[in-house]
Amino acid sequence: MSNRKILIVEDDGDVRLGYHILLNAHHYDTFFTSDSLSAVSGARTHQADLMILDLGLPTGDGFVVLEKFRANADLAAIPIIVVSARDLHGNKERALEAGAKAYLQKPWDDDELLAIIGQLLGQPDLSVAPLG
Amino acid sequence: MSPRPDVADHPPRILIVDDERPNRELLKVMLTPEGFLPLTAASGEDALAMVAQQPPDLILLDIMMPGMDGYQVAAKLKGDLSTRNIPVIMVTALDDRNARMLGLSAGAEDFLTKPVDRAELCVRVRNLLRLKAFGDYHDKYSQMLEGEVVSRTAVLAERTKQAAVLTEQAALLDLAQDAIVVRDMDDRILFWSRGAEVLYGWLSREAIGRRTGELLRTEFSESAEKIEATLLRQGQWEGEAIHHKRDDTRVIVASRWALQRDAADAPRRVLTINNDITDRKRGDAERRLLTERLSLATAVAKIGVWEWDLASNTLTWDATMFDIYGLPPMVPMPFARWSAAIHPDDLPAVEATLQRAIHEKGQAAADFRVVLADGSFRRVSAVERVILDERGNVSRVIGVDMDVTERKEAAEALEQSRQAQIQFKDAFLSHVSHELRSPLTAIKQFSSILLSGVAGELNKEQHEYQQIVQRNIGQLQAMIDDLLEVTRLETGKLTVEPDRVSISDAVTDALDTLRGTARGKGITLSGDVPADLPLAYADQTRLRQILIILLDNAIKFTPDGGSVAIRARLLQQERSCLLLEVSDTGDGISPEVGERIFERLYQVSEPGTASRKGLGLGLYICKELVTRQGGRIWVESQPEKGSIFSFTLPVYSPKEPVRS
Repeated sequence: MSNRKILIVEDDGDVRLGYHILLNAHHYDTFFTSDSLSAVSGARTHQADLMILDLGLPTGDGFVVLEKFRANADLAAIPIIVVSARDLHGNKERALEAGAKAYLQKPWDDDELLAIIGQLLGQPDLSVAPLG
Repeated sequence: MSPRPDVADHPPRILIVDDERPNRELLKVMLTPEGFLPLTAASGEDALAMVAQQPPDLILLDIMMPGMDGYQVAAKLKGDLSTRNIPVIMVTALDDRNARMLGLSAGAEDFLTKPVDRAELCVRVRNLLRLKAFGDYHDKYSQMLEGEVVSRTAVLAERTKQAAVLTEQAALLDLAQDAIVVRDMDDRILFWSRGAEVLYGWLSREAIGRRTGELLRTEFSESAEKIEATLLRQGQWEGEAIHHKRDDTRVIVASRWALQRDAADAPRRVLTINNDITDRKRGDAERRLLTERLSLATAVAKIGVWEWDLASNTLTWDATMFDIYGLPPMVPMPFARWSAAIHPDDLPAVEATLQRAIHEKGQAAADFRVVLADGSFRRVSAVERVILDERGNVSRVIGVDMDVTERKEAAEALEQSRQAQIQFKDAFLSHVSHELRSPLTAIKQFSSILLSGVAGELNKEQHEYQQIVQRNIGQLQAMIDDLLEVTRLETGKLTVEPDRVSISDAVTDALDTLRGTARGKGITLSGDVPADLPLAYADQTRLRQILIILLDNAIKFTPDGGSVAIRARLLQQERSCLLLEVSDTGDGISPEVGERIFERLYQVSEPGTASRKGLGLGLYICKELVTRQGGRIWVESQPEKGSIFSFTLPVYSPKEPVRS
């Protein structure tokens, strides 16, 4: 069975690299976009199974992306985890209402993130494969 | 020849000279019932014609008349020997010194100010008629005497006779309450009325023959020479003087003097009427002081004073009122002119307030906006009180309007800047914390990656160092959270939503959260919650937050191998509450520190303790959260033995609202 595909919408290059290393080590394929405009096309092109979404993005904030995904039948089924540096207060509630499945605040706990991904994709896989 | 003036032979004929018929009628109506015979003339010319035909006993003379005015008429009468002894009372609306002086120069004996008071009119008329009668008689008598007596003792004889005559007239002049004194040109008293006896305490027989200046120790406001000159020049003097009574007390009198001349036009006597005005002067002075004080106070404080007469529906305003409303002075002012100046949104409420004050016969207050001519507003704060007439009906409303524009604007500006500051602080801290979290995210990510061994296995030392990095990331994260929490507390964004809460669950949860941290220091964590403890009425998230802050602090300040415990109990007091205690076996804190430990930014920084413990916001947040849930928090501690942080929460009762 091929690896599940995770689209990460994140404008910080360092954070993107961190995601890449962590998720690859846990046998997920990662694809990236760094703005809200290309999130929809990215999800379609790569046929993402899950999306990790930042809120503060250059071309419109993550809530716009949430709305777009909810409004498109082919995208509405993709589970979205919002991971943001923004204050939990207000944002978490709003994101969950807009269709996000989970909300994590930066900096997050890796174990927690992996557990949520596993749960959403229905295949918990916490084994670590060494890079190389 | 009978030695008494004939005053009762015929009803005194009073000539009323006024160009306005209603004025003539009014005086006529006042005089007729008193036994006078009023005659009327509608102009100065008519009056002179009537006087020439048959001289009246007294003339009431209006000043302002078309054609010949009152001054000219008086001058004409006084310039003619045949009419100069007819007393003239000028009736005038001009109540000023100038008008009086002009009248006196023209020869008027007395003044009455419009509107004329009936009692005053009659007393003045009567007094002057008496003096005239005396004068008429005396002139005739003197002429006769002068013809008969030519001896060198003529003056003395005359004085004696005068005295005799005057004594006989006493009965008449004594009717007046005023002090009437007649003296000769040597200031010797010839006549001393009953009124003078009462006023000064000297009997007539004691006073006669003495000099008035010595007897009464008279003090004038102007020099005696000047008065004398005025008297000789104008035949009259009127002014105020201070006299001393027999018992040495001072009286202030309004004094009117009239000079009488003999047939050869030589000054003979001075007739004086003195009126005690001491009380009135004192009252005047007090009133003036009061009025001045009040007007100073109202002007400085920008307080306008007004009066609303209900019958005429007009307003009387002081100068400050016109200033506040930016209107030109107008007396009296129609009520509608005021209501037109009130902001239309405020008018109904203000009028309702006025009506309520009238209805309740009481006092009311209102705040409203006044619209100025340029469309700008003034803020006015008004207080009004109704005035009742003698039957207890509301006749007038008096009030003050205060210009509070500056005060209100300053308060609003202050509030606006306060709000702006809060908003800025809020936005600033949200921004800062967001920006701090971003790099912290990458740091944590890569430190975690290193620790996980994904990038190659770490040796024992490297692993340990990365754990130190992780611990410090955790501290930074907690500080950012605290910072935001305090901002929320201070901007009112933090809300506490109380509900039914199980203390047991909250304690278990908090202990689970910090078990790892405690284990790292070899600290024993324990909880003691009775199974039958009632539910609390609290915000579950906030309760967890409080417990975690207290436990975390306790672990932080307890040396390795110590113990930290949570204990919960029901406190049976007047109003039952739940008591939660977090105790540790740390170093304890001094009482001074205990008092300040819940203050914002307070940090325990005693030598030997770990240096970086956070921002000093944790216990402040705890205190705020406990207080907002209706509880209280305190600390008890014994140095070397540890501390107990305690707080209370309300017990849930079925009456409390429950969120679904």
